[in-house]
Amino acid sequence: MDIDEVQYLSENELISVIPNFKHPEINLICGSVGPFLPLIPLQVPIWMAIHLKESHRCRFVCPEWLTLDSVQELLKQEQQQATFTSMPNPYVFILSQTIMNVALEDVPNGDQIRLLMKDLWDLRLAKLRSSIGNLALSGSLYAKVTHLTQVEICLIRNFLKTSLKHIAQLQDVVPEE
Amino acid sequence: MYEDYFSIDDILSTQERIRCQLLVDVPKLGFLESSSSSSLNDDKKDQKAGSNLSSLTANTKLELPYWMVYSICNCKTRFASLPELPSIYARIQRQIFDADASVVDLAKQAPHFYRQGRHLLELNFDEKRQVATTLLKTYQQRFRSIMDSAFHLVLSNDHHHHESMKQKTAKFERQEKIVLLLGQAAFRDYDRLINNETKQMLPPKIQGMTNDLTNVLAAAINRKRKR
Repeated sequence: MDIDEVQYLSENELISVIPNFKHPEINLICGSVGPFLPLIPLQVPIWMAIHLKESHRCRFVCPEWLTLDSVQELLKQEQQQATFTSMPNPYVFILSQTIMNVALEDVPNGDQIRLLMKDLWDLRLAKLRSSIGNLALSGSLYAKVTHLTQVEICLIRNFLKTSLKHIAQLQDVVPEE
Repeated sequence: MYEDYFSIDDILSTQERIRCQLLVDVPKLGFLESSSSSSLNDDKKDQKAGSNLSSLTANTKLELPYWMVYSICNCKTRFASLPELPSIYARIQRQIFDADASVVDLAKQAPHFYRQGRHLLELNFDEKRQVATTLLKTYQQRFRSIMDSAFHLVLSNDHHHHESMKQKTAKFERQEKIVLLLGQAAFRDYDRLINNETKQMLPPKIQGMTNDLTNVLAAAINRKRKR
């Protein structure tokens, strides 16, 4: 699964929007959406929300995890813990990116949140690096890492897979005493 | 041990010449001795008349490619033995790896260090265990700098940066470079995501459908819309 596919899957998550038009329920393969009533918020998949936003038919309701307070809280927790903290959503980094690209005006303090998200990302990346380094150095068979988001997994998959393969190959040829 | 019959890395790493010592007399193979190796390139007639009919006596030291050494050292009647290891796996070099593996310029000294080492361990010699642990330890120690290069050296495109990256990655051996490239590719993908350059998902193409037919279909759809 490469990063394009992760992005594709991330757009299947639901988000609240406030439409400004009236339309009966739409039946989709992934479930029914609607009915749309002006000014009544409802949940739609993100790909649909993007489309509606771009044709000026709706406004995004900023998701709870994308407010300044909650992002600050996340960053604080991440700084305090040595291990990864759980993220509100497995696609948090891609979705914040998508939402702020499409509807920056619907996210209060958008620019500040963007900076905090970058800090959070860098912090998690540093943790990821040190844990990978320790794993390779210890030569242990596996490591248990929780709360990684999809992008992070995608980022290290090929790299880690290949280097662990190399290590295993070298371990194989060490003769038994 | 071999990844794949046509694996170019396997072919290249088994090509390296290894010094071995003959245990028996071998008639008529005098041309194998490196001093007369030039005759290999000459005409066959020349060879017949020349040195190739002379025989090799026991205890002659020869430098043969690994794939040949493997066959003659590992068969039932041993034709040759391995008196010394290639210098990169020898004791002195192992001590250098023990001290600090990350400073050794593997690209220059042994571009197929790990793979060649793994092949070498198929043979019989005394210090097998030490060589194997050195291989493993070296990879683990150098892994950190590979990872750092993979994570950090992609972000900018300017010339100065490019040069420093070249300098840092110049010491990497073939396998290490592969890992490095994989790591960098992932980060380049992430940059594409940040810059909104991810590819558009397209509907799958129908197999065997010619271009004309797709055009006809598209035209039909357009006409329907106009109605």
